[in-house]
Amino acid sequence: MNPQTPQEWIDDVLETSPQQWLLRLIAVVTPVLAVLAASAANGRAWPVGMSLVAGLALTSSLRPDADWALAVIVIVGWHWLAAVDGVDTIWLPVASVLLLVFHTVVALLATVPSGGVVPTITFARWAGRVAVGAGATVGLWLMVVALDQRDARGNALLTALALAVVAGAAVLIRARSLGPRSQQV
Amino acid sequence: MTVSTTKPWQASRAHFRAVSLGVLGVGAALLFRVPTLLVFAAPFAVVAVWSAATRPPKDPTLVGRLSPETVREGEATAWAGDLAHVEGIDHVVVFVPERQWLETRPDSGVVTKAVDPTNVTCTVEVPMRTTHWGRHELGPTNVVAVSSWGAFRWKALDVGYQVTALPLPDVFDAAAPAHRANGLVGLNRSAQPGDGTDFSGIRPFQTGDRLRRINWRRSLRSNELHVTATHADQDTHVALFVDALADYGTSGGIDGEASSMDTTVRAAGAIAEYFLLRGDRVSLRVLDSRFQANIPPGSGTRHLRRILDVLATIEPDFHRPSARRAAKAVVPSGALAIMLSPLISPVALERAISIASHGLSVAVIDTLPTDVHANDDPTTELAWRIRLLERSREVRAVQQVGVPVIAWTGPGSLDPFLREIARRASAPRMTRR
Repeated sequence: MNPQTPQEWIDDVLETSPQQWLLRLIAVVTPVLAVLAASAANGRAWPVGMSLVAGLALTSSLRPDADWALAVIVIVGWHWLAAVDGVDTIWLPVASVLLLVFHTVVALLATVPSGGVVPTITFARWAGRVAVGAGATVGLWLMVVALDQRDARGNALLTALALAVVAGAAVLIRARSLGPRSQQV
Repeated sequence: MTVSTTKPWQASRAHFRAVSLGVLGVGAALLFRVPTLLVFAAPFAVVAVWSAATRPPKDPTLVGRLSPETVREGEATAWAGDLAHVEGIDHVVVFVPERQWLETRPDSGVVTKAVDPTNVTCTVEVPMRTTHWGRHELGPTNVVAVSSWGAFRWKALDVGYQVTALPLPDVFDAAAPAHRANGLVGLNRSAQPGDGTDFSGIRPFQTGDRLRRINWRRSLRSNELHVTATHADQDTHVALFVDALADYGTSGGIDGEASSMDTTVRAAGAIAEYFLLRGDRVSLRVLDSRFQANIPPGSGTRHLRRILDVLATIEPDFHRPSARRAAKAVVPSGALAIMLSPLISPVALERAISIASHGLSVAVIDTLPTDVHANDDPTTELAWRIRLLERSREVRAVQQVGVPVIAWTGPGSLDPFLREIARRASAPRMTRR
């Protein structure tokens, strides 16, 4: 549901509801905060990257049904991996949850045209799902921190098993995700 | 007849994003032993699995409807879509594109509705209001069902709806006495005595008088039977002629300015409604419309609806005005002819003169907006002023042959004309046969 022509862009801006502006603001702010979390974790600012992320986040909020959001998440994740060592910083789950919120908000923006208003009950449902995702992230982070502090050695069998599980999940997800071709009734 | 085109459930970009980040992120984290990447990828993996697990099992079915399909100008109607098999659907989004003369609520035309997971059906409604008379195409109405996390979408396009907005007649009333009539039934008082309700006088009994007409008081006093005489109740045939050659001025719908065609159609509706509610017969002839219409005389509220239906279909025919110049307006004798026209083309005046020359009472209602000459282009404005001067001369010429030209002002517009023809009713006139 992205606008295509310049006139559609103008109409889109004029018709955008206050709620949609709020969602777009969240979509721009969350990845920027994730970059700031990386800065807080390593003590070094990344103004160029932050500007880049903000620009891409703005683009993805205006064109939510595109791949700009994927680029934003990849850049923020890559920056974190490059700039922050260690997993025991509290900013890690914060940044991860912020990216989850960003992904969710962009997904929600993509479902409703700019003039639409998302029902409150839908907001509540999506917030609940994000809370579950955030809880899982924090739980995983706690487990990772615990394993990191134990300095456990790697296990090739367990790793292979985990990879097999991931591959199996990927196949199942793919099978459920692909549907039949379009039809006319 | 409506046509729905549907697309089955398809994965969205959001789902692709979640699956890519989740699967590749977790896989890479395990393969390269990067726990940080695992923490980043984990929520997307959760979203991907959750989305795939809660994918709606089957396509919903959509039954759209527009109700009511015929409304008065300014009244509301609504498109409603009944969705069945909504298991797994998070919310439904309906989008009705903007159309001239159709206002949707909300203004954006976008209605979203959360689907109750305990229900198997869901109804979404988009209220709308017509702001101008005529037939308006609706749609195409886009319906999108969204699964959890916005991962899958089902789309439908519902097209083929048409709203008919009947013109909302202007307020109209007449205080003048009714026109003489030739019919046998109706509400108007005839000049002839007969079986009616209006008191005429008391006269001696004649053979054929009804017994219930006997005036017993007078009969007892005079020792002779007397009856109460009444005027016959008769109706009037009002022949409406609508000039649909062109539309001048800007139409702002029911809440804005009125173009010449707006005024013509609404005034015609008002006059028809006024006379039909009085019990008179009204006929309608639309001249130079794209769709020619000729409604024979009739009475009653159903006939009013028929007239309004035809008025709603009027579309000026800009392309072939000269071809119909010769079309003569045939009006039965005794009818009251009323022509509604902006009088920019002299054809309407020629027709009015033609009707009047047959001895019929005819009035021309001028429906041209007063500010029609106002234009940003000085040349165009000058052209308009020149044409309006010519028009004034043509109108004066018509008035000199006895055809009144009246500006439409709503209630009482026809009073001077009706009084004049009531006064002239008994006067001798020279007619051309």
